[in-house]
Amino acid sequence: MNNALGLITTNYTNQNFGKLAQARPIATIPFGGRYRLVDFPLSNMVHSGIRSVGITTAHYYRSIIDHLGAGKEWSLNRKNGGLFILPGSNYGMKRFEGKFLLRDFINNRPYLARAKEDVVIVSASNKIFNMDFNDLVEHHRQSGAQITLLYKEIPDAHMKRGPFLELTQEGNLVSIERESKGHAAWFMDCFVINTNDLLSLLDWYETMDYMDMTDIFTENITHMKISSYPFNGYVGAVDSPYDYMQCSLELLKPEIRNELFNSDKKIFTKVQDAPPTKYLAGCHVSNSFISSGSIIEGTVENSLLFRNVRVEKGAVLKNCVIMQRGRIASGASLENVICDKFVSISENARLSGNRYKPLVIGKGEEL
Amino acid sequence: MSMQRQECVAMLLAGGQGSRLGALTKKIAKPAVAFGGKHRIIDFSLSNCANSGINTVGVLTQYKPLLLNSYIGTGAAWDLDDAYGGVYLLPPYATETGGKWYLGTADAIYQNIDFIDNYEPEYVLIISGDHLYKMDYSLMLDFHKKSGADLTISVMEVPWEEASRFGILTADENKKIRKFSEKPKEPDSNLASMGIYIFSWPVLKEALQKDGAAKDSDHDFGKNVIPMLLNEGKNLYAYTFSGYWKDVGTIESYYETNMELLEPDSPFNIFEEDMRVFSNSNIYPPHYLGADSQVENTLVCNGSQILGHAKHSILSFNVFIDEGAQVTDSILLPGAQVMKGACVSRAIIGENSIVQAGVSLGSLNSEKITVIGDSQVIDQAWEGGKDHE
Repeated sequence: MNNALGLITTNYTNQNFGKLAQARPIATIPFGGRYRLVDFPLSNMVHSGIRSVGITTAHYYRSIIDHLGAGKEWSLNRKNGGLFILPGSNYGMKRFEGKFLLRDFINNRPYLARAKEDVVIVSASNKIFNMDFNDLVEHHRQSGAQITLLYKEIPDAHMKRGPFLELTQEGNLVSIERESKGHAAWFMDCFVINTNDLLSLLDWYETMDYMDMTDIFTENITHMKISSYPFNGYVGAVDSPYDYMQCSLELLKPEIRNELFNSDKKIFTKVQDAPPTKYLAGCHVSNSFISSGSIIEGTVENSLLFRNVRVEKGAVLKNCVIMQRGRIASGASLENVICDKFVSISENARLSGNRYKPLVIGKGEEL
Repeated sequence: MSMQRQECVAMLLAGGQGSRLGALTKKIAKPAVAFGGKHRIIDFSLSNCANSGINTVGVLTQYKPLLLNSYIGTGAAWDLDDAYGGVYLLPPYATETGGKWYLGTADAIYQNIDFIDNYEPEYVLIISGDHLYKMDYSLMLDFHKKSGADLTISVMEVPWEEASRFGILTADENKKIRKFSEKPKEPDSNLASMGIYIFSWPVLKEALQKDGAAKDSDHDFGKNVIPMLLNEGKNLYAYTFSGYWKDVGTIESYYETNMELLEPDSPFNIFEEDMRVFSNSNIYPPHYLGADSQVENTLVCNGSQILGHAKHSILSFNVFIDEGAQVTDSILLPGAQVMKGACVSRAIIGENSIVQAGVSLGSLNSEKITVIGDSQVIDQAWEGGKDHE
């Protein structure tokens, strides 16, 4: 697909996350043993043939630049197109609801105005899915819509954070709701829009740049064709430590793991050349997803370990996520715990959260 | 081609077949053989170049180079896609007088004199793509400069009883080489050549031209060029390297060298973070260990799914061990699969090969290691001792 431009937004946060999103945008929260959340929309775009992707940065953007670099791992270090870092605006106070701040689009209008591509795929970076966007774009073109919103039909809307789409029988947008119940069209924070229509909207709303793109959709349904497209695959949403834990543990299910990671369309991420993981005599590991460079001598159950984690003899991990370079000393016991990067847990420590409220240990903490 | 002047250009010999590795080199050159789970053997010399600040590397290929070519690519995986240098694949080529194969190690360099001349280097480092070691060549280059040598040969002490298997150097107290003997029956020194040379380029160029014109020469550094320079009274010095170095020539040494990585104090440390060994691998997801898996004393790489048992083994990228399968004392190369209930003991399973359900392959008591080549399907009971290509 040479005729679509990519745009990923990262300039938003969410107070539920606490420590996990304290010094990083949601887009760069580590996920799935070696990835960051932004890897999913970015890899989806690249696998769909998109070779020009802009990414709006959040206030704390060090980790975005560190992770993406020149876009080499995503084949985006290119002469034609490539990766474009688009500075996000300073919004003064943290934004919690909208993920598509109009001002970030307006400030980076040249990137959009110069595009030869006739449609733009816009995605936030907190949903986990592996999808070929060609299906979405084809539907968009055939339906003659100016905007097409991507959604997932779900049976348990009260369990999920919105937004949800109210749609007509034909799938055209009626409204966007923050909450819903039962069966609902769960917005995947992703849509495709004709480049010309996007530029017109940016001009019309130039003086109201504090608004969110999704707010102006509903204002314009009377004179714009805003359609929708359902996605049938797996969608994970990471909106809180609880969601994060649920989505992480869902990776232990083979059908979800295979859909996300074992298709021909691999999720790309920054490569770090860690050595293989070493399982020593006496370790017990079951139902766990483990990245390279770790050394494991203790017990690990239903857990995810990122790169270069050490689990010493006699240490026990159950339902845990241990990010890069975690050190779990001998005799320590952790249950329902998320350890951010560089955490060190001392000998015989006992730490536990519960299923609904996992305990989060912040980056670099020593306990 | 960038023709930035370079102080030192590396020439990496990667054309050898490694015929004693049998089934493992049936389709690929020895430097491309997988090692230690996530590497191919050539990773070590390419990473050494990168870690030594040498950014211009000519790679001499000849035997079955397809995988090697695609694996090396632009050299980006080893940070060698450098504006001031780069990796250049140098296969044999045709000229107006016809084409010919590389006849020996020295001939391969001789035929690429123009490549080296482009960079007007002062020194040329000659290394081999099929050795396992981590070495900072810049220290050897410093030694070469300080001693005023025409040629510096990297050496290591080997056990006296093994000395007759190597090219042996006899040096004086200043490390000046007095004698060189290829596989001597009665060695008078235990300093073995590691096949790593730093030449001052004018000396090497002249020597290659002389050797190239010599009709009776095998065009080999060890057999011909070094003895010639010694006879001419050139300054040859020995640089002693004390780290780990191995030329895995046989299946047995390939197997043992892999298995050594599982030892707690493995002499070959690929886990330490300085002098990292890079590799060009696909981005696979983390590996998954199933609810009933048992994995002990084992290295596991990304992309693998282990539902059965693995003991004292090395599992590369994308390996699959199904429920009830047992893998013991074995090396599974990238993409190898061991299906339900199969039993693999003391074996090497080639890339993308499949051991079908219930098959028993190899034996813990067998002296010989069972080797399955790449892309094989093993669907019958198998006894150790026979290779499958």
